[in-house]
Amino acid sequence: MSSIALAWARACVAMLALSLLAACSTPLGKARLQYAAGDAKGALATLGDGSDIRSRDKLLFHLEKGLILHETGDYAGSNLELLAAADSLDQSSVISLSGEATALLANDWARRYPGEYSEQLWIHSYLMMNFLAMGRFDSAAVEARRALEKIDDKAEVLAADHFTRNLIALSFEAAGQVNSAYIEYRKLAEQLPGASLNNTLLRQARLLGFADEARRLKKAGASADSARPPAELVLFIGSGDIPGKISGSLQIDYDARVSFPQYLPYDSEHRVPRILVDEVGCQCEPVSTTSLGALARASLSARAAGVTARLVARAVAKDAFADNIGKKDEVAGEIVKLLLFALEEADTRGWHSLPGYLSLIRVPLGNGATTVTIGDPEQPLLEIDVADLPQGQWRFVPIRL
Amino acid sequence: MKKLAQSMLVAACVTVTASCATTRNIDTNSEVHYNASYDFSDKNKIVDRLSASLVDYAAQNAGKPVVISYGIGNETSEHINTGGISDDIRLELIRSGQYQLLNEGQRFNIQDEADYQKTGTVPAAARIAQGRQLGADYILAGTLRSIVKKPPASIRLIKRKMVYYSLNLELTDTETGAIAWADKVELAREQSQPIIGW
Repeated sequence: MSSIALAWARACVAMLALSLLAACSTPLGKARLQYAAGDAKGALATLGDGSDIRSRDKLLFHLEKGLILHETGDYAGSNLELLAAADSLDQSSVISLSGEATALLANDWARRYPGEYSEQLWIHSYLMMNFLAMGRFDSAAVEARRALEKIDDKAEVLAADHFTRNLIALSFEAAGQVNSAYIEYRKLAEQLPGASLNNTLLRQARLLGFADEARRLKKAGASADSARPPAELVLFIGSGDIPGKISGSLQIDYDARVSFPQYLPYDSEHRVPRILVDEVGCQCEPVSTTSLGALARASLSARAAGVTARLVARAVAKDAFADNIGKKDEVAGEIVKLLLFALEEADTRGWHSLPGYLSLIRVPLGNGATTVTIGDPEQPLLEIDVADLPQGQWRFVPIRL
Repeated sequence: MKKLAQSMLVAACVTVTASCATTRNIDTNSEVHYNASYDFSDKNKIVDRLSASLVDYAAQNAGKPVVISYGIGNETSEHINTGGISDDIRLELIRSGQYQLLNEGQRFNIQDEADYQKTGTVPAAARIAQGRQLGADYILAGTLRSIVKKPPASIRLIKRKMVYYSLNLELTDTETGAIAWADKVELAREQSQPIIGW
């Protein structure tokens, strides 16, 4: 075997070993296992300040840490991570020549993780939830506008995210930006079956002085008394887990294959908890629900053309590379082919800690309401004290089932 | 051999220079932009123009109006602390001597202090005389808005973005509800960024 061929074969073995090690033994992988086992504190300790995380996985670090902090109620800490994730996305819009060159001979794990379109949007969804829960309505409205930019960029996929559209409208409404809220509620009403948003729309049409629209909504069944309840509790409910990504494979020759990412085809169960206001059952249905798995699959499909182009380029490059070495040393060429075959691995990275579904429920509170119970009254998941909620005010509470 | 040594020396110098961290002071009145986003140069420009306009307005009218600032709403796509703008405008108005500014942020603390003084710890003659606060003649409030435009998708090596900011500020007469004065500042900037990097 020639010395050049031997050196390349060694490099390929090293890349293969690194690739195999990368998936299972990183702090990110360990933290995900801890979080899935219910140990959020342990997961946060493992993630630490992210200094052990490779730069190409920094986005995932911020996403996972941001969501775990959100689940533990540390909304300010979560915002720091999610805003860093948004910044990291802006940086990853620059194509890295070194990353692309490595990916051409190894696999897409060498590239900086860009995030699925849906994941890019959910950064802003979680920021909106955090800011609303903190009572920082102006900041929630800023995130609402950033989310709208993402939806406008990939409307064919992201317009189906009813939960985020609802959050956007709610953020504008809470910030007193009624005109923007009205536009988003109207878009949502066009997408949702039934007339569940008619009362909200009528209330805002009156505020904005849209007399014709108010008449149309009343004819469509909106209640004449569409005033806001004395106070309101808004629940953001996450349930189940987002399906994981797996590696699909296509054998194109006895010694060549291409691998592509795909989401597992099944979703976790969608659950809505029982809600009681002062021990009386509330007929509170979700205003909007998004299946994160369905949206993630649609996002992956939307970038399938780019993934396929890279697969083809990689297959051609690997073949040419191994052939070149084979011309100098036939045995070395075969070994390199074998190693490049083994290196072919789909990029199955993703935001693992996300729920399977996100639902938004508005709970109207009458005068003097004191406690809202979530779940079975015998063994409640959560009891929310609303006695101190001033008239005309909201409280926003995220819950993960 | 000599050429190779020279090249290596140059490469080493470039590497060392590139890896050195440096800091420098920047004149806060100078215009510095790293990208199209809002920055301190924009804030200074906005504050200078609007406070000058407000001072001109007061100079044309007799008296020293009492103003309360209700802040500036942020309707942009960036987390901009608009409190910095309203605080600086307030400062310029106080410095001009043409306005009296009420401190809305200290109202509860003033009440707490008055309540404390009534507990008997402060002699009656030294206590705050209540009922003597000034009433606002005007409310100062505004909104910062932005429009971001990107060129349509096409094959290119440079990514461009145009950002337009406008800040509208109003002085509302608290007695009549009429807008007594209004002005705005507009800023627009284009940013281009290479799509390919190392």
